[in-house]
Amino acid sequence: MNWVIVRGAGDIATGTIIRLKRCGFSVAALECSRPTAIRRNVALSQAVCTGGEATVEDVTARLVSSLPEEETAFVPLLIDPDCEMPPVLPDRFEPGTLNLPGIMGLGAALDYIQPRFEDIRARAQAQTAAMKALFSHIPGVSVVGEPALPVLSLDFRNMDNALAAHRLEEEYGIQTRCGLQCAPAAHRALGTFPRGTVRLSAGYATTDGELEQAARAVREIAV
Amino acid sequence: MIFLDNAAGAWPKAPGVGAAMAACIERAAPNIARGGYTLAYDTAEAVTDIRCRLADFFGVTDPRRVIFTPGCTWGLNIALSGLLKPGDRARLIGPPHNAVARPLHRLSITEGSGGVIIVTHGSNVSGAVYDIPRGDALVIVDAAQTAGILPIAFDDSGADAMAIPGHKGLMGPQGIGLLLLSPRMAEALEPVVLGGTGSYSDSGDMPPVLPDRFEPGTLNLPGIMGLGAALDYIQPRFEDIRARAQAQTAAMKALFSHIPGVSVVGEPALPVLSLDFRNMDNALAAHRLEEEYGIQTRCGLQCAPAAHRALGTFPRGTVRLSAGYATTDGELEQAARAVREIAV
Repeated sequence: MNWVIVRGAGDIATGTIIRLKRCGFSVAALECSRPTAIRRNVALSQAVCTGGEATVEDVTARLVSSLPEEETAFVPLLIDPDCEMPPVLPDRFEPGTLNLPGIMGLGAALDYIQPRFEDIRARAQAQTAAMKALFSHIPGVSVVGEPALPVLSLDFRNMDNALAAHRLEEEYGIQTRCGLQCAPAAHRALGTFPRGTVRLSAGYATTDGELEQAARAVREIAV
Repeated sequence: MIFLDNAAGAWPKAPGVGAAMAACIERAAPNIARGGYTLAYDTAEAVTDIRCRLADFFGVTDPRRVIFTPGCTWGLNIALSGLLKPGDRARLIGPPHNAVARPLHRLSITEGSGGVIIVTHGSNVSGAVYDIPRGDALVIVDAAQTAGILPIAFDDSGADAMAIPGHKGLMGPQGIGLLLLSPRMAEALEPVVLGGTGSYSDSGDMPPVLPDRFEPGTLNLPGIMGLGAALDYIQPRFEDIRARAQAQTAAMKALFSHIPGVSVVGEPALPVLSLDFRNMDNALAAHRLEEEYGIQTRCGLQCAPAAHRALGTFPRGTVRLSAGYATTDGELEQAARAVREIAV
C-alpha cells in the first residue's frame, strides 16, 4: 500500500489533498494535535478538533491512530507528536521572526544578479586573470597561493604587510584587508602565519583601471 | 485597516528606520572590524555609538555587555544553550514562549529549583507581567513583550541575561535583537555560535573579550542602523510611550471586559489582551474581524502553548489584540464594537 502523505491539513493543504484524491492517489495527512487553520470550514484538519470526521467538498478525512492496511474512501488523518520543532521545512530551521527587510533586499539583489549572471561570472574570471597578471611579477611582493577567484593575497617581503595595507589606503585611497582574515589555517598552509597578507578582492563593479592603479601603487610601495 | 497585532511586531515602525537602513546599504562599509580603512572605521564608530546608546537606554553600565543578535529567539537560544547542560533543572516564572520552551525541551531541562531561573517578563498571550527575582541564581529574561514598553534598568534589575527583539516595542526592523549580559553571566556563558570576529584570529577559541565573544560573523549592519534610528525616536519620548501603553491597557480592559459572550483571559498589564469567544470558534472570530471589519489580530496559540495551558484556553487558543504606540483610542473603540457585534 503506497500512501501519499501530506504534512498538514489546513486550508491550502486540503486543496492539495482533494486534488490528489480526485486524481486517484491514496492520500493520508498529518496534523498537529492543535490545528491552527483559520479557515476551518474548508480545512480537513477540523477532524482533529471534532475528534472524528471532517468533509470538504467531496472528500472526508477521518482521525485515525495508525495508517490503514488497505485503501480507504476517506483520507486517514494522523496526529504527529509535537513539543518539538515542526517536522516540516523550512519551519524546522527558522525559529523566531525572519529578517524581512534582509529577505526583501536579497530578493532585489537576485533580481539584479540572475539575468546577468553569465556576465558576472565572466567578469570575475577576467578579473582573476587580470589580477594574477598584474600582481605576479612585482619586485618584493609575492602572490600567495593559486587564485581562481578575484581574491588575491599579497605578501610584501621587505616590509610589514599591515603597514603596506595602511599605506595603500593613506597614500592611494585603496581599501584592502590585511591580517589573518579570520582564517589562520589558510595562512598556516600558505606559510604566511602569523604575519598574514594584504588581501585584494574585486567585485562586479571593480574596473580594470582600478586594478591597474592598485598594481601601480603596490609596485611603488614595495620598492 | 486597524492593526492590532503589535505583539508580533510593531507597525508602523519608528520614523527614520527605513531611511537609516537604506543609507547603510547604499553608503556604509560592507563590514566592520575587518578591513582597516576609513569607511570601515566610520561604520564601526556608528555601531559603537548605537551600542552605547542602547546600553544607556537599558541601564547597562558597560556597552560591551550589549550583544547584537539576529533577534530575541536567537538571544534566548544563545543564553539557554550556552548555559544549561542536558538534564539541568530550571525554575520558570511566567509561562514560556516556544523560544524558551523548545530549547528547554531539547535540553531535557526539568522544572525545579536549580541554579537558573527563566522569566517570561511579559506574556505574549495575556499581557501579564512577571517580576524579575533577585538572588544568587542566574536569571535569564525573555523581554520580547516588555522592552521599549516598560522601563528596564538591566544592571539593577536582577537579570543576568535579557533577550530583546528589535522589531516589537523598540519599533525597529526585523532581524535584529539584543542580548544583555551581566558580568557573571558573561563569565558563565559558553558561545553557541562560533566564527570569525576580526579579532584574536590566531586562536582556535572565540575571543575572551566582549562583545566579540558572542558576535561571530558579519553583523546585521542595516538592522543596527535601523535600530539606532528607532532609538532616536523612542528615547526622548519614552515617558509618553510608557504612559500611552498604560492608558491603552486600561482602555482595552474597560472596553473588552463586559462584552456578552466574550471573556478577557488573564490579567493584562501590557496593551496585549486575549479574548475567548464562548459561543463560537476563536479562529472564526478572528477571521470575521479581518474579513468584515478590517481588524488584524492574531488567533491560535501565539507560539505559547504553556500560557494557554495555564489560562485554560489550550488547545483552542484565543484572539489576541495588541496595541502599539500608534494605535488610537478610536481604533480600540471600533474594535470593541466589532467584537460585540460578532459575539452576539
